[in-house]
Amino acid sequence: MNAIRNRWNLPDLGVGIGLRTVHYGHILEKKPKVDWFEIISENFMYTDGRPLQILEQVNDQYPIIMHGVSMSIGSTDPINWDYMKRLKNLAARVKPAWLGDHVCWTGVNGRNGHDLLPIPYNEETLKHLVERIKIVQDYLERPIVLENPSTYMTFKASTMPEQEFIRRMAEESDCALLLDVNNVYVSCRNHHWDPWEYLEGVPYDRVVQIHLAGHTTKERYCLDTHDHPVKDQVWDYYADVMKRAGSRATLLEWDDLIPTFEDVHAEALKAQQYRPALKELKQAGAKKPRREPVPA
Amino acid sequence: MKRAKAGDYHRTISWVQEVVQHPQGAEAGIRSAKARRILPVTVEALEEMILPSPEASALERIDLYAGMYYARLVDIMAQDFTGVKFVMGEDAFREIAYEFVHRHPSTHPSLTHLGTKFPQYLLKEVPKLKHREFLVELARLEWSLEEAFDEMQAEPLTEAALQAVPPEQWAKAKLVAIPALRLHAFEYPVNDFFGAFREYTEGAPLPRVPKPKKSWMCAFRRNFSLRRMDLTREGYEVLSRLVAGKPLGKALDEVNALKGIKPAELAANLQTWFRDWTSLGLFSAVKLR
Repeated sequence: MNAIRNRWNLPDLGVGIGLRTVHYGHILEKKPKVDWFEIISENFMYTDGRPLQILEQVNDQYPIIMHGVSMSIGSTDPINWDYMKRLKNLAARVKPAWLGDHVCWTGVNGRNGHDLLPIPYNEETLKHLVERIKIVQDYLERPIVLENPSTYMTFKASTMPEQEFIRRMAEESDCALLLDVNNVYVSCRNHHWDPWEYLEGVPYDRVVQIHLAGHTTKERYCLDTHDHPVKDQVWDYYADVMKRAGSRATLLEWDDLIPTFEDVHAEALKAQQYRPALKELKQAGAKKPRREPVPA
Repeated sequence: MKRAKAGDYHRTISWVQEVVQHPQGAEAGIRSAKARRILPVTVEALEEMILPSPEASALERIDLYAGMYYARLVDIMAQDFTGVKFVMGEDAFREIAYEFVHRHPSTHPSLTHLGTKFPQYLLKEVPKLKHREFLVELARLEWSLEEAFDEMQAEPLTEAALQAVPPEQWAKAKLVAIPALRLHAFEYPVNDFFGAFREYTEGAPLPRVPKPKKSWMCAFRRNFSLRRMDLTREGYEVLSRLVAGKPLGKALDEVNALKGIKPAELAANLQTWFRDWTSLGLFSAVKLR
């Protein structure tokens, strides 16, 4: 096994699931044994009401990671400093081991489309993203963890494969990565990319987290719907990533047609069979997974 | 940070946004004057911009984003305005929400702000809207519940703190309302309708759009739960002046001077109102000069 520690020594939190409103009651009442939860940052950045109260209660019991959808790091609009301030304030409250968003843009010219829109992968956009990531990281005083998106179209202006763009972006900005293996499946399927070549090109020393999810295959597209169990092919990719990278904090996303907490958690725990055992990790020199959040 | 206005990338994503957010879909978006001003891409030569796949043309691929854009945001509107949707019917609501999303695109990082302008949109911008006045009021109520949900939590004023106010200082006392309080004066019994709608179960008689009848109410949050409460006209008039920051004496003077208010009745009810409003946690502090 080739266990690579991430360069920041950020912990392997184990297997977590997304914190969703339909499960609040169960989590607070039953206090189920779950390694960690991931939140959508924006759901807690613009409220002073019940969501924050719930978040504090959950955070008392479990490690929480912040994963956003509106940083719009790929936009050409000025960085939204009010957004950044709120993100930093929430991070000060939650104390996540890391926080992140997506390699995408969500709007431009003052608008927000609330979608994770694709970027042409070329030298111009690489320079643009690297510059913005550095500014954001300086402000947040920590590396940000950026996720490969699922996409449904590609640009003729792209001059390099997505994995190369993301690798160079991460290296030149010194950011961390979240590898969504379902997104790898979805994008590779939609664009006829070679998924094994994609996975070969990922800089695993920068990957601190893995996402798993279900998708829906249509006649012309594969859609990242997050409304199914994880498909076999995605588990195959996950197993491959575990072999290449060693164990990483892993999270199952389930955002639509959400079943019971137990069902979501059971699906997430299937990841355990692919994760290197603790003994193997120790032999490979990796640190024992820690439950407590650590400063980035 | 300086915006890369002139860059190819800025033009590319500005063009994608115009195309994806065009209300008639990507093809109409590409042909639109706005998109063509950004980049003179034609539908016929779209592959110069977007690559096709073996399964989908370049146009189909960008149109998928256009479809998802409206579907996603209209779904959010339907979640925020369940009562308005109930009255309009699913199809009519979705048509109106679709047009609203087109005319008032989101500019905020959070989707929770999407419907801010919807009540005003129903009032001013939707032609030939059946039950317009009622729907505007219902939308205002629903949006005020959304606002109350996210407002800052404030510790309610205690009965003891009220009792501690010296009687001679009451006239100049200012009561501070909790942030999560919204007051409404309606031309329709909106709260009654909304309650009936929320409690409606299949098989029961459908709640119907009521006839005009003035009503007053407040929406607020207590212990992180949203609540609604009917008010009398007098109670509303007093409470709205206190919320506006007026001292109690001045608020009462103004209300007493209103047409149709009976000072004796106002005086008789005042103590009960304050006891109820305090026990419900509508105030967070009392300020004395």
